[in-house]
Amino acid sequence: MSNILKSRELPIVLIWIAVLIIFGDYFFGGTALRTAFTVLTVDWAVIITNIAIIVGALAVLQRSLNIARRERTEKVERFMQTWTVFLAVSIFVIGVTLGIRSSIYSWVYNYILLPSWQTVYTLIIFFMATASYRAYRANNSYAAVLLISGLLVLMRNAPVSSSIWSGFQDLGSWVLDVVNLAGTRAIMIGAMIGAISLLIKVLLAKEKILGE
Amino acid sequence: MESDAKMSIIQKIGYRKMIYLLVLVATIVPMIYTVGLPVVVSKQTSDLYEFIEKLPPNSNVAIAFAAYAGMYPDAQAATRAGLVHLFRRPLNIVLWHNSPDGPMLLGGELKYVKMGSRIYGKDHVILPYVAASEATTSAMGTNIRGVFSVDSFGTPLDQIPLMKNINKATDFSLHIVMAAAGGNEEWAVRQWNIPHRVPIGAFTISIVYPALIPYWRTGAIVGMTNGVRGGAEYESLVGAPGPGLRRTDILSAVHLLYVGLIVVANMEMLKKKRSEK
Amino acid sequence: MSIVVSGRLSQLVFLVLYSFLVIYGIYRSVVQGKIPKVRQPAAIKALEEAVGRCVEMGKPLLFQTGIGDVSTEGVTHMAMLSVLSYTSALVAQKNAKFICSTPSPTLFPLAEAIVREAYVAAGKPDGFTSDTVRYLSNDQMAYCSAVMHLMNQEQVAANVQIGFFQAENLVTLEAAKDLGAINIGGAYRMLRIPDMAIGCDFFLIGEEVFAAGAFCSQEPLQLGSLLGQDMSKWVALALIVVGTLFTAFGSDAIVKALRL
Repeated sequence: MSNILKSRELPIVLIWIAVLIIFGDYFFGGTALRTAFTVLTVDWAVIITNIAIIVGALAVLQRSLNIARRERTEKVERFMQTWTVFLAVSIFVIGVTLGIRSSIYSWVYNYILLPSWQTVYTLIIFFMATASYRAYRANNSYAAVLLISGLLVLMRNAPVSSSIWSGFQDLGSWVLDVVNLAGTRAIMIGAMIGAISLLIKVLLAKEKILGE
Repeated sequence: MESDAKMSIIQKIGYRKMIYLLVLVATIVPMIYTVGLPVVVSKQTSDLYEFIEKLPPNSNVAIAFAAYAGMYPDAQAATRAGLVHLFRRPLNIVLWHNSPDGPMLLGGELKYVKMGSRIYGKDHVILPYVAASEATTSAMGTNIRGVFSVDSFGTPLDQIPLMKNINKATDFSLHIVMAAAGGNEEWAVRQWNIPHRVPIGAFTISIVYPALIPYWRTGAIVGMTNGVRGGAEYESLVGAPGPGLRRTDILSAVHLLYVGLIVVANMEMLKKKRSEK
Repeated sequence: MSIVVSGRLSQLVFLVLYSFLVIYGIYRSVVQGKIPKVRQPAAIKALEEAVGRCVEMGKPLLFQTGIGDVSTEGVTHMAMLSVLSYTSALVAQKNAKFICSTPSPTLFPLAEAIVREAYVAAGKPDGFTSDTVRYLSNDQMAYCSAVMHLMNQEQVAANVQIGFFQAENLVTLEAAKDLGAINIGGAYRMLRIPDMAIGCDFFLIGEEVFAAGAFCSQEPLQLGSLLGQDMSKWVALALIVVGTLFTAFGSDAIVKALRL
């Protein structure tokens, strides 16, 4: 049994079955294929993802505890790792025992988790500013085109631009609706063709990560 | 001498920290001193508004609420205005969650929605969370009951009056994706619009907006909003001022700061090139 | 009664056509021995230089696998795993320090297996430790903070981000830039290409990410598939031109044919 599970053929067979079900359902329809599709992509995908989340959570907890226990770890780091584990387990226990609609969980979510997430996301504007200063330089003609189109779209998005000059809206929209459109479509077509090529290689068992 | 002293201060602080400080000022000052600049409504936003406004009464609208907590402020204004608009119109709404943060965030937004004479189960239903993926979007398109058997309160779908005649994409007049972080709109186009011809609307974050323009041009997406600015535009159309219109000044200030930084950087580069020659 | 679902026949035809072209490209390269000449993108060449840089500076190379489940973005993750396989083989051969961070619990065991295999194949199984591949968090922002801390703590000399990323992309690239590390990136999503363009020193755009495995290995089969891909693109281009001409002259024949 373990030989079958460890074999290189098993993943290829499973991939073929999945591809045939998904493609068959999309192109040929039918109740049986639709049921198989739903079971495969909804039920099994949820099961695999949830098991993986549990494995991942345990891996993180184990790693944090190992770092906290190591002798050469600094006291501050040890305290932070232990405190993080304690917080994670506490929030998990609150959510599971009291439910996500409880007032305690709502408080934790709205006043601890939500501000933390949003704070880190907000870092993007600082990094975008430094990236703009560092990278948006007209070193050559391509960079100049990038610079001008970037400036036009920036001004189009700024509400104040229409008060400065109405042309910013039109020019910025032109960049987005015409130039960006062409580039996006080209990259989409190329990417999808690349995905088909990768799929063919996987189905032929010629993709290196699956073993040859 | 004076310029040398100034340069040494900048050199001491470092250009990165100077920029961070400028960004901080550009966000805080407009919060305190608001001007309330008007917003020009873009075609994409007005198309979405017009489409929803012209839906016949008792049309069924599907909403995939895909908000993630971290980036939600970008789409919050549009989402709130969109929900106000949709619930104001005599439409039947079926909403489901495509993110684990959705149930918590939706509760906060529905406080701003006037339910009026709406009765849960008759004209609106909230389904639970299902992991967002193209496969689940496709599965929802052909058999909602294959994905959900109960609503978010545990009531079997067959016992909900609104859901008696709704089970697949073709039962809907419009499918809206709200506050998604990217991907959900394209899945909706591929799995609801192309096979079933259901129009798609998107209240989206600004990062995703340029990637959806090809779909808007072909008509697969009937309209979409662009982050905070799109939210401000939609709020002005709906007549429900909210976080979008409050943030237009901050948006303008930060955008102008970015433009200023780019101009300064290029001037420095030109100066350096000339001095090298 | 049609066997194929209405409105999907043309899609099936194109899928079969493109698949045939890829298989033909592989056949031409492997069986007929006509291996196409392919330019190697700067990003792939830069991987080797990045490893060399890490060895000289005694600092680690950080490889980020990208976010999201294998079930939702499987194709991109497969492409990323090819690059991971190549990078970890280079790192193992040259004895560079290596850290692989992943925010995806489904990718974590895959990445671990691939990196371990690379070290074993290089004859250095002791090089792989439990800290080499780290699952940090599946929450995007928590992962972002963790990676920034990791970069500062380990003082990485090179940062590789090829695959599926979200908003944390720009933040981690800039954090790496702050440390003086070189950034090698790759994204197929339109949303992330601007981030990569600004933040990376070398990057792969669009289908180059999917072809990364071919670029890395330079094997005839892989190169042949690239030829097939390019032929498919020519077909798409021809269709665009023909469709544009037909539409310009008022005919919707092509549009109707595509709706079959």
